[in-house]
Amino acid sequence: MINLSSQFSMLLLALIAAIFSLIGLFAPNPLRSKQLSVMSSILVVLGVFFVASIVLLGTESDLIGGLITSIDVERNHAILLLFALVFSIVSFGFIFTSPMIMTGNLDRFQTLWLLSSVLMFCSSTDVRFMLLAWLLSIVPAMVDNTSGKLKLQITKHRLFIFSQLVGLLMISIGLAIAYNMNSAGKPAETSYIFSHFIRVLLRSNGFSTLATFLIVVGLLMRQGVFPFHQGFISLINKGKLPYSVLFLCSQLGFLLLLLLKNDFQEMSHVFTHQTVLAYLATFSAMYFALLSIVEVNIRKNYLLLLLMHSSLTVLLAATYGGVAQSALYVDIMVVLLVGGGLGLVLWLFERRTGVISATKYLGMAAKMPILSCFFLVFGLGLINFPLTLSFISEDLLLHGVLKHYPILTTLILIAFVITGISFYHFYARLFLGTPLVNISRRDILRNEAMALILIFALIIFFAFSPSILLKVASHEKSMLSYLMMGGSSLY
Amino acid sequence: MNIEVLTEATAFSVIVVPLIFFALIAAYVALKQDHSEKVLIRTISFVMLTSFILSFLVGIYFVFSDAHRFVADFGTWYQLEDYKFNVSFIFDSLSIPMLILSNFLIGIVGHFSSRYLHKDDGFVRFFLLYLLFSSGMSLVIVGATLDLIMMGWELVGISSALLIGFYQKRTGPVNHGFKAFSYYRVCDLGLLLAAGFWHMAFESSNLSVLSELGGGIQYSAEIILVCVSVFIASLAKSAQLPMASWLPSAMEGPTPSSAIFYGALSIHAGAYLLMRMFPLIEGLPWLRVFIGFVGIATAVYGAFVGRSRNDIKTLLAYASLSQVGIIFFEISLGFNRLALVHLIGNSLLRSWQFLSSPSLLHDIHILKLPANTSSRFLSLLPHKMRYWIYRQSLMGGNLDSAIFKLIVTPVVKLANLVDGFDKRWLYFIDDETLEQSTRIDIPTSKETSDGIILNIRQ
Repeated sequence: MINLSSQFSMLLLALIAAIFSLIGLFAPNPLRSKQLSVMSSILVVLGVFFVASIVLLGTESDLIGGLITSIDVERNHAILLLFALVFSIVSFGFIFTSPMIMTGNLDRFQTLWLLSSVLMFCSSTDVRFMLLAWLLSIVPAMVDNTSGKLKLQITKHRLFIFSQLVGLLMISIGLAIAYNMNSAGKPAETSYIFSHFIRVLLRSNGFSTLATFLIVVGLLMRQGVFPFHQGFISLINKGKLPYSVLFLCSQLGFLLLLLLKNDFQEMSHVFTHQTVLAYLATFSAMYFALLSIVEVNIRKNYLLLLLMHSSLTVLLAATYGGVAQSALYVDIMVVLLVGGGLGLVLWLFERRTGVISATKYLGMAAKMPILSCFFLVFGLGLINFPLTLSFISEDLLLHGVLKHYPILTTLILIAFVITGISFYHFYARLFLGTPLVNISRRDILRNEAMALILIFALIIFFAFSPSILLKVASHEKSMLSYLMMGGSSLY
Repeated sequence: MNIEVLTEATAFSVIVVPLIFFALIAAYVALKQDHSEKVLIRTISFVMLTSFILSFLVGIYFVFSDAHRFVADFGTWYQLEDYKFNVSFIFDSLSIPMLILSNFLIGIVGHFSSRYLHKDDGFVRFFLLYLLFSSGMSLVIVGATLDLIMMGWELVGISSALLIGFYQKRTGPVNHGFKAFSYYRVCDLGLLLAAGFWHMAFESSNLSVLSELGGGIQYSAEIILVCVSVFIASLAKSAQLPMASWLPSAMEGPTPSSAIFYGALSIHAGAYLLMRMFPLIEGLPWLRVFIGFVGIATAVYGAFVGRSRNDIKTLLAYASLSQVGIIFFEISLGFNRLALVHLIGNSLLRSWQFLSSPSLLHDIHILKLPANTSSRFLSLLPHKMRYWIYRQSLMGGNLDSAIFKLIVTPVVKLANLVDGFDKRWLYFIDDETLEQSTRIDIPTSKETSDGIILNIRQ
């Protein structure tokens, strides 16, 4: 009999993922290719199984014929667990396709390391631990193998690394200010729990505003909202696509913001911040939408689609009410699932064609009809098409935010219209027209199709049963106070 | 049969079943990489026939019952605080004739297409989009909430754009598909806002609140915004001025899709939406005058421009445009019954004309039909004026140029400005070499008249 807490089991998985990622980096040749991918896939499947059972079965469950009993889980933790589950599945998509196209070990290392970091992040409610996980998630960007040898390479992604580190620093300082103001140098038992900090912020004056400012700006830097998006552009242009996509989709900043948000709403003096945030989000959305019209670089076009959603998420975060909060969580899942799926398709496309920018019609649908269908479906999923999850987030945006910010919501919707038009043009340039590029590979391989179908099935599942996501989000709201009072077993 | 069961079965059959078969056929073809046309057609015919029979039965039931409407309620999709996404469908004197018409025409066109597209590369693709359209159109017709109508509206839009670009190896159809999609997105925005403001105004998404209110509607800002948004949505979908120029370009698609989209159903969706929302629009005389004005202007525009065209499909497109303009005018006057009859008649006639257009030369030759007729009215006008009208008609009233000058060009200029700023911002913070500009050229007037919206060059 093994008694495991949800956090502990996820930490264990995070550790195993980290070990695998290091094996992937330094293992001898025979282990590097197919075997390692299979092992990694098994690891991720195990992770998915663990987390799924925790989310679906809850407390006191008998798993694997009684081998693991009494999994201790707080249902209020479900918001992070569900995210970890879905993130594992999306990562699985990238890892599962690796035997065929993941040529370098760097891809595998980065993917597994990031998975490890996200699992660490989601396994905790301790802010120090979360920030450590965040810091660790940046590490893969510092490793490079372009010259044929693995080496530490900081200058290549300096902008990205710098912006993330500054973001982390700002949040850390913000939280430290709040901590010190409260306990006057005497750490309380629950000092590191979010609500504690926020309660402190509520009671204080100038410093609390500074602390809130630092926390919020740090989170915005993590998410690449205007004007902090250049790091992501640098990462996606020069970095490995799987890591870039998964990092973009991991949405750790917004998860943190979601956890903080309940208490933010109680802070009357933060109202100004929220209004400023809403305006910034709208401006940011319009900015990225306009950029997407003129962009011909495929990776950057994809990035702009995701950044548009990041802006929408900020608007949702800056809005009062349960509908907006649920929409925020749904949109986080949209970015993870749909963005991850589209990123995977893009990676497969890039590997086959070597095309990095589309200035005229490439006509690849004739060569890769199934891949083009997946591209279209995932892309429509990002522009709020019906029958996809993003339609629900758009619907909730309309009904939750419009009454608070009618003009800003209208502008955000206009930005979505522009993005929709530029996405269709993006699709048309890559897949329609007379075929211009010759490719030797097949349209799509079985394992690639399986990975994509898995992600697609999740999108459809959540689109047709959004209640699961919405219940998790609303449950989180009511139970968060319990969690904040020390419900987590990590303390 | 119980009417509740019948309406629920009908709603399920016309909306969900096509989607299920869409998924099944797509999965089958993707897995097998092979298909039998015969099996595909039989399956789709069965789906369409069932839908038609069920909607017809609802129609018969409705005629012999005293009820004003039947509602098929499938419960709540999701719920949050005071917001509910209700899945319910409405069967009344407006939706039932439209549903019967829609299923009848979709079935006929499907049957026609099975031969027309025999052995075509895009045979399966066509029928997949056809199923998507069928489901979307039914949602627009019977949806009891604006959210559901919006879903159908977008399904119709994407299937339409992809069918215009059906011959995807040619750049012309692809450009025109993109153009139609752009217009559709603009009209989607109208409907999205309408749904949002509707909820703000009535605290419910259900259209049935209109009948509960009766004539006592207090016109708040939200309600006025709902009406205006609905009007904007219907403008682009029904290709009314100033958003009319995409319709002739849309004729690049296969003839059966032109028949069903631009002759029969999709083109009338805007008019249908206005009829559905008429109880709300009724109390806004200024908006009705505006709708009527737009309708008449479009009718005149379509009549003149259509006469200057020499290919049958474009000519029919303009004829369709003209008639929809008149339907808009009828709606503005409050003649909803007349508008519905007009809509049904026009749909049937245009479908027949589109479907028979490929054999036009044969018909002219065998049946000795007149190939063209000249207007006596026009011959009464002074020569200069006739020449000017002809020239304007040939250029489509410069609609494309106007839209480009007023909307596309400023947006593209702004986008280029933002792009330049972004690169300078990057240079400022990271001292990186400025990448080569990826600006897009603003299309020339020749390109715009060819229907190219964004011509991207490095």
